[in-house]
Amino acid sequence: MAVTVQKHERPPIWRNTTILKWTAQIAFLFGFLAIVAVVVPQVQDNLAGRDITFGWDWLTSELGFLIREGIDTDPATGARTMLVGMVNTLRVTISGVIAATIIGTIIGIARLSNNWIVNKLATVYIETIRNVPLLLQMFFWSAIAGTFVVLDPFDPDTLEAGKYWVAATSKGIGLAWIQPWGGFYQWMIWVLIGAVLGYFLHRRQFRIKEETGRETYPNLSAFGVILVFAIIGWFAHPIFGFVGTIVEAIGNLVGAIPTFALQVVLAVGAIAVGIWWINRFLDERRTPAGLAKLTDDDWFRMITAGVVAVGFAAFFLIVSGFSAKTLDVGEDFFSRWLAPKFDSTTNVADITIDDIQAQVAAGLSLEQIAAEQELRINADLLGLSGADLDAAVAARTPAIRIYENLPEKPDERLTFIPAHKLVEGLTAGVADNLNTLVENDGITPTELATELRLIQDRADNPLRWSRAEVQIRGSNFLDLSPTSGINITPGFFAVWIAVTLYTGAFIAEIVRAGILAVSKGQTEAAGALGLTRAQSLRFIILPQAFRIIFPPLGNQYLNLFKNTSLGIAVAFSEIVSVGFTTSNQTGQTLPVILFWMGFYLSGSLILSAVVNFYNRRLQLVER
Amino acid sequence: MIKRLSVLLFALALVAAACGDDSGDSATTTTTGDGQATTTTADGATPTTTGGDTGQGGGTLAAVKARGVLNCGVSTGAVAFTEIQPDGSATGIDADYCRALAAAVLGDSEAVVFFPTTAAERFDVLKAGQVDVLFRNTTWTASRDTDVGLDFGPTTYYDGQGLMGPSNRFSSDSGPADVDGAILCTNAGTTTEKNIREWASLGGASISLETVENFSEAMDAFIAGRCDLVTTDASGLVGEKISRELSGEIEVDEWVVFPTSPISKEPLGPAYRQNDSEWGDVVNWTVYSTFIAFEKGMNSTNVDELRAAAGTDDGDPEIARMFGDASPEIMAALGLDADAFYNVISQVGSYDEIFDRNLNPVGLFREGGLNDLWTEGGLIYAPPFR
Repeated sequence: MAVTVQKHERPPIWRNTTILKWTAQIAFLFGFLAIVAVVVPQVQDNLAGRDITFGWDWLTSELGFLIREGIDTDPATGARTMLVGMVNTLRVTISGVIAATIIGTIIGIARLSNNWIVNKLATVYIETIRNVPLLLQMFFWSAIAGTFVVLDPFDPDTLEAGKYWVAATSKGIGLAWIQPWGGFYQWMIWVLIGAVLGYFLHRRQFRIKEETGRETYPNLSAFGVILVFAIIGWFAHPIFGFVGTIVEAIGNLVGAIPTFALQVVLAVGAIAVGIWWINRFLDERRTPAGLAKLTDDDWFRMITAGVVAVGFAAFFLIVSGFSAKTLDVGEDFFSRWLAPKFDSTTNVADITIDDIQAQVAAGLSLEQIAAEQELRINADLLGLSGADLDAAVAARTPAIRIYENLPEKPDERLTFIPAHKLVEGLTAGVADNLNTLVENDGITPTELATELRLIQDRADNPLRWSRAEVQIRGSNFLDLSPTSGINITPGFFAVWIAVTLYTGAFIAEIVRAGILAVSKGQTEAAGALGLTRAQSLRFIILPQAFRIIFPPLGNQYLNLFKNTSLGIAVAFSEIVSVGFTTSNQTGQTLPVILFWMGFYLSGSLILSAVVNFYNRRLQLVER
Repeated sequence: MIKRLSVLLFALALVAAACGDDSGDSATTTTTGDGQATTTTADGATPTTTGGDTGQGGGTLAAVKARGVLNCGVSTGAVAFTEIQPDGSATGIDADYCRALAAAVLGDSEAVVFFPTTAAERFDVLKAGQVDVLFRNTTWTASRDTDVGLDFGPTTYYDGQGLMGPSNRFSSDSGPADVDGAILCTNAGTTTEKNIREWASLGGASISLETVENFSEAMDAFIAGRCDLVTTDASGLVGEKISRELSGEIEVDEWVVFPTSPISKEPLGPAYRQNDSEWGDVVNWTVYSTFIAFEKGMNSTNVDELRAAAGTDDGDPEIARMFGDASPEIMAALGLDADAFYNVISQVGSYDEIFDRNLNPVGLFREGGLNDLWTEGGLIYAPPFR
């Protein structure tokens, strides 16, 4: 036999998959950039040709229109306007996802019930809801909301001002709700300690159960520990008042960190994560003999990971604003937001209970007291001091008017605390009748001040029932109090109930399919082992069904998220509705559409990333 | 070796194909440009005016003439301004001005296609070239004139924003203090949203604003008690009120429109794309011709008589000029037929005729108001036609 060359020979360049692959990647990248380079100027030309300006100035300028509901109904800038819309969208999405999941699971199981009526009812529900367009359903619920009791003091059938467990009115639906109250944050520390101990107890009991087979009730005991701590904490929560000092110190500490230090830490962190990822990746690829056989694809992934890590590190080092903002937010969170939650009493305004009592006795209405406090609290911002301030107080000039007339407004309008936020209870509550309450109903000034949210007593209960309240606002209008119970506007109601029922119907079918997909042998085997029907559902069927259900469930969540954009049709102030008004007021249609796309794209990607993460964890581990 | 060669050839072929693709790309780009031009030409314009049809420069006039029909943007429904009929036509003062423009440009007041647009989409529809002009109770504001990229013609109706509420709690003298704490309904994408916030905030009132897509929905919400008051241009409110009173849906004066002096200036008139002065002149002078006819006491019934009289020695020379009898060069410079404005007056009518026909039935009168002739203390005034 002749000598054959066994030497490994590199393939010629045109057959080397590495080179071909990389060439293709790079060519595609440049091709893409070239298309962008062609399209962008073309779009610019077309826009200019039609006299359509394109810009983002509207994000920082004041748009000057009110929003019906949300975290800020009179936003100062375009960016904040869009934020209000985004938060509203997320609010309806999150509550809709939870409710749709519950409804879907129940209906899906009911669809498999042996009870004829239950079974048929579930079928009718699914077939009806699934086959009617969602927009029509929204109109239907909006019309239903239109039939509720009219809130008008001149209407004899109206609801009188007062507290209600449920108040379905034309201006919204009010429901009683549990509300965090005075000692909530101290109490949460008790609950947190209980949860940590419960976690460890659960682990221990579970281990014993696994090892010995003895029933140790891990879930029950963990829950019991949390409950015991919650009950003790209900009475003993004031002892954690000192935490406020610690939180304050943390806040100060965060504030003391130089920006540069955080930049370095973040950059090093980014590099470290990159190195960790590459190392882990190499470990995964390593054969038991310790040899890593890497394909070109693997190299490509590692290089990408490295480039991304370096990119992030460079970003953190170059853009100091990100780190500075992070520190600011951190400091604000601890010092300004969290720390005051632990103070024994919080005076939002610099006024004591005795002062309020004296002023009420002197014949001042609570609105007048609030107006004065509004001026005093915002004095710095308004540029008032000494005699000017006293004059303004005496003239009872509304602070907002002075603010509006300022020649140069401070950048952050957020720092302005309007009276209605300062004493939400005042506009919210019983307004004109408060004075009478003090005199007639035996309400104490402390209670009054607490009601006005001027003072919150940390020794008070952690939670309280807050009933919906029909209140008199302004010049004799009836409305639901925004601070009592939960308050659902007709728009929110229509969108929420429509997307919940609609998505619920699809989820029900997914649940049914998932349960049916578990082989019948599993149920029979469970029965043979002597498990009851409930046990076999709990331990055998549902865990396997859930694995099948989960991926399509994630798709339904995405659908729900995107379907909320129909809210504009029933006057719900979600991102599309708010953006629509914005684009119309500013003429910036394209930027607003880009904003919408960015929001929905990133929301969907985040949601699907979460779903994928859990999906991967749920997959069968195969060897 | 042969195998290698064939591979090499194949690779070369790939490269060549890739290059071919590239050149193909650039070719496509050009075709896209051509394609656009072709599409616009298909619309009926000559190649020189294609740019104008999509916005820049002139061209709308030629495009409309070539198309033989005027695309007019109107409201989806505003009592007495635009009321869409089941057959797709429209009545109302705005619709009549669409007809007047069609009469001037095309000689036929019926050569109009009405495009109902919502308040929020109207400017995009106009800027995208889907309509030639907007007669859609649109308020002339500085930002719309500049930022939004529009030009405005003479105001055809001087309006002001008002509020409407039940008369058992509001009167025509009600002010900000009376609406403190109320929820107000209005439709999205109009000047009213900003006006009402400003007005309430200046008056020290705190209000909530429920924004719906169309004004008819705002009325529905108001009737259902979703909001306490409804706000838009006073003319619209009066129109809604009177038409509901006439149909017996509400009792007479169950609702009241206030305050007496409107909370804002709302000059409503035609809007067209920016930088098309040729088309702008046509729109403006069509509107002015109805003003001049108002001033001269002309209307569709006596126009022939007055035109004939203007031809005589002691006739009104301005009428003769306007109807192209005296100095046809003005009409030629405008790019219109000599008797274009005669068509406007004879087919549609003078300003007072259009106004009375549409707005009187809903209780809006011009006498003594801003919408009367300048000689009567109003603001209706046309520059001289010479």
